[in-house]
Amino acid sequence: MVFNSLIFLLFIALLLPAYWGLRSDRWRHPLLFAANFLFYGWWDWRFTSLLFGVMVTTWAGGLWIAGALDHPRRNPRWALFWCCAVQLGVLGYFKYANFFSGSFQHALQSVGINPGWTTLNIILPAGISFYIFQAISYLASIYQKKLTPENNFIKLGVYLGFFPHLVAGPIIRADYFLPQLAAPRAFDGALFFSGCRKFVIGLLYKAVFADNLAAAVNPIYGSLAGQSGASIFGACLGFYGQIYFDFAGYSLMAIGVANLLGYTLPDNFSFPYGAASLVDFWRRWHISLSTWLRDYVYIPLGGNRLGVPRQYGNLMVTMLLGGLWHGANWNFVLWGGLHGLGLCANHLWVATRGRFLVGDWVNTTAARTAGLAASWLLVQVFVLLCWVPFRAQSSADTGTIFQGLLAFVSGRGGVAAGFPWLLATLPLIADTFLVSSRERATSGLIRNPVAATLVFSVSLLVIFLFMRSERVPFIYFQF
Amino acid sequence: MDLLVLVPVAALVLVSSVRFSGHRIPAWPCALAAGGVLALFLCLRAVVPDEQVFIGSDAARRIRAQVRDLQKKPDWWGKDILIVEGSSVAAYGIDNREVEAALAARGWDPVVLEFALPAANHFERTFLVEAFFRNLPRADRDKIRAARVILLKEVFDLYDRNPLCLFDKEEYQERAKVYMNPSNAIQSWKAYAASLPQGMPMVERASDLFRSGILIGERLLMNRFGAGALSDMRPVSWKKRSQAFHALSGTTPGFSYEAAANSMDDTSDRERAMPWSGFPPGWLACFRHEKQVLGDDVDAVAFFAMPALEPHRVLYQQGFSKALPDGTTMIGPPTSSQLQPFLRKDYWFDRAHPTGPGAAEFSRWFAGELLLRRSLMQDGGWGNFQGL
Repeated sequence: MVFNSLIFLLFIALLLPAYWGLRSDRWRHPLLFAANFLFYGWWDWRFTSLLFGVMVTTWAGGLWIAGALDHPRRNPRWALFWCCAVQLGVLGYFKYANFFSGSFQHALQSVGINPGWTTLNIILPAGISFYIFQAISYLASIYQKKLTPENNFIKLGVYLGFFPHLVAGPIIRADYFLPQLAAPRAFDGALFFSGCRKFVIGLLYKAVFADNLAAAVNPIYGSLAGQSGASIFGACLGFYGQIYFDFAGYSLMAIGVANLLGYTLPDNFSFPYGAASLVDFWRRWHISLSTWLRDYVYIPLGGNRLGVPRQYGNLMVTMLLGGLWHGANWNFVLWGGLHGLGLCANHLWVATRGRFLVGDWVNTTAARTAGLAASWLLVQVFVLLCWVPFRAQSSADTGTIFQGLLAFVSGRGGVAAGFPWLLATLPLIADTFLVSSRERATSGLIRNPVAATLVFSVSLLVIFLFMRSERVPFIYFQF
Repeated sequence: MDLLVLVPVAALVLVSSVRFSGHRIPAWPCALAAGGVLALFLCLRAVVPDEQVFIGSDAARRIRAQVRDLQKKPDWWGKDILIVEGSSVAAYGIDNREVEAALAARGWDPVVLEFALPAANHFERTFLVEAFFRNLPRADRDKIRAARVILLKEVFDLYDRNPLCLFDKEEYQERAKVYMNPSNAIQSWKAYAASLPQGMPMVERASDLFRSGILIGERLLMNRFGAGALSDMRPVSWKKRSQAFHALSGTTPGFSYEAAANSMDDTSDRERAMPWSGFPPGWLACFRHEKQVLGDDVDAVAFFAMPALEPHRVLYQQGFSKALPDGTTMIGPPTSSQLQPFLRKDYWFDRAHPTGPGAAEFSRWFAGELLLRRSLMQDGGWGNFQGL
């Protein structure tokens, strides 16, 4: 089931009154538990057993780790290790077995050995990366004594399979969500309206901006041969917007739906295309993944506590793993590696810029503004270029795209007939500069609930008229 | 220019300005506000015809092109009007201009209009013809009522047996939003229900009907809300042209002409064919619907089956032809000897669709058959189908 479908609208229209009609969470939790499975099983019911299996092993693992912590003769570290190994084993099998067996086979063939087996063809269950990471977060929180193990299997199941964020995040920490399940839910008008607002914005992002951009971008990426440099630049710019609107849109809808059910989820995006440094970009882009990687990979590796070379090494490892998390493909590894290098360069610049920027002119308003603008442009161009290997089908395509971009910047780009330049730029500009300022605004807001309802209703009608009505899958569903 | 992008951008800024800090929502005023906007929109939508809401769709372009074609013909109101409706077989196999020219060369000068789209089911075809009449200026509409209008319906087992044929393919689902208005939604669901086998287990039947109901319901909502009508972000244009006739070239991957031609003599394909057991219930439901919709505008009805290299389809078409009431015309399917001139490798894209040169030959054959049956066809009114 996807958020921008009739069946989901029916599902939520039936679920919300039933959910809020129940008198207490004692019944709401089982209802949510069942709704999670219905939502997930609508895509492919066979994988509900996998989700259930992950729930059972996580629940049992939590109890085991807590038992080991209380018992002086048992080693809780081993308990955590084995529990995480089970979860990562499941993830590795479904997500990476094809990739590694294929790469190994390819490597053998390149030295003239024919291994004589065929590549496995394992279907990737939707959202597996997200719920496995949440399971690990739960197990680690118990090990770190931030949480006590959840005895109630239904509650743990609601956390792991919470349908709004089940298939594409945001990744939520156990210590963020489980306390919400423990506290009784009461209908809150402000939270409900906030949910409606986020859902409508998310739907605008996804159905109108991302999907219409996809219609312009996909044909160019699909047949790169013979495309002009201008078309290739258009496709890169279009994908830069598409991936943001697609993923941020999904995240906003997920947070919005959770709000409608009385829960809060952490923000996953905070206007990343307004970032003027790469470090800042990663504080604003896919926040739930970057903080997860920071807390469960980068800091355990030593973070910045073991000297500069080790810090840069840790950054590279973390970003390479982040790239691999996105998919079993060398293109994603390259994307992660490029961002890792970019982050190292960013840290190096921050540490050494005092040596280069000397004199009074550095502190003038003009110099600061120009510096900020230049940093912003540099960072955003870097991010745009890094999306090339992320989106390209192969390394050969990546090369073709860079050649096209080179032709474009050298003035030999030709024209991109029919490319929707306004669609590729105006929504991004409006979002980065206007919407972000509205988020911080305290005046000029629509506070009247009836006026707000009118705005939501009219906006929904605008979405229907301008949406791409053929189904364009969410990009992050594949992860 | 995709200037209309300013509208969703304005909506984005407006929605981001909403803040509500109270804990209780004034339920009735909010419900009335939302309901009022919805009701107003649906009322406005109800007065705009589907083909004008989805003005850039294939269907709308085809309708406009046929209206223009008709109006361009000198003295068209004194001529017979032949309306060819069908799926890809007709769309790629009949070039209406070629048919017109062949008929004119042999002394009959009708206007041939074509309402065929690849994968068009019966409801879409009926919608195209209905919308064509609706889009004629009032004066032309009066004139066409005075002329003799003959509807030529394609016979193809795939669409006749399953009224929602190919509906599970996304590109055709997407197109269905144009014609899936409330009346077509109800009728197509009923026709689909009628087409399900009698002995089907109840649970399977219920799940099938639920699934098709969801698909139809989704298209119906898209139709009512004009989903994607402005998705190209460009101001509405009435002047977008559509290609008059699109010819296929080459062959479809995996198609072997030799194997297909040999299969015409192979009995195993014939044995696989479902035995003729009367008109498929789904087709009957569609036909009744069409009779109701086009009854006032169409004077006579005839059927046609194009040449095909699929013996089991030909058997269906032969059964169909035999079951038609007396006095009803059906052109084709070609007999073995009639098929001989078409048995050329360069004529076939696959087993059912011709290439460009094939289509020219098919069109001339079609014209010849029309001429042979001219007088019988002109008399074949809806009255022939009273019993159906």
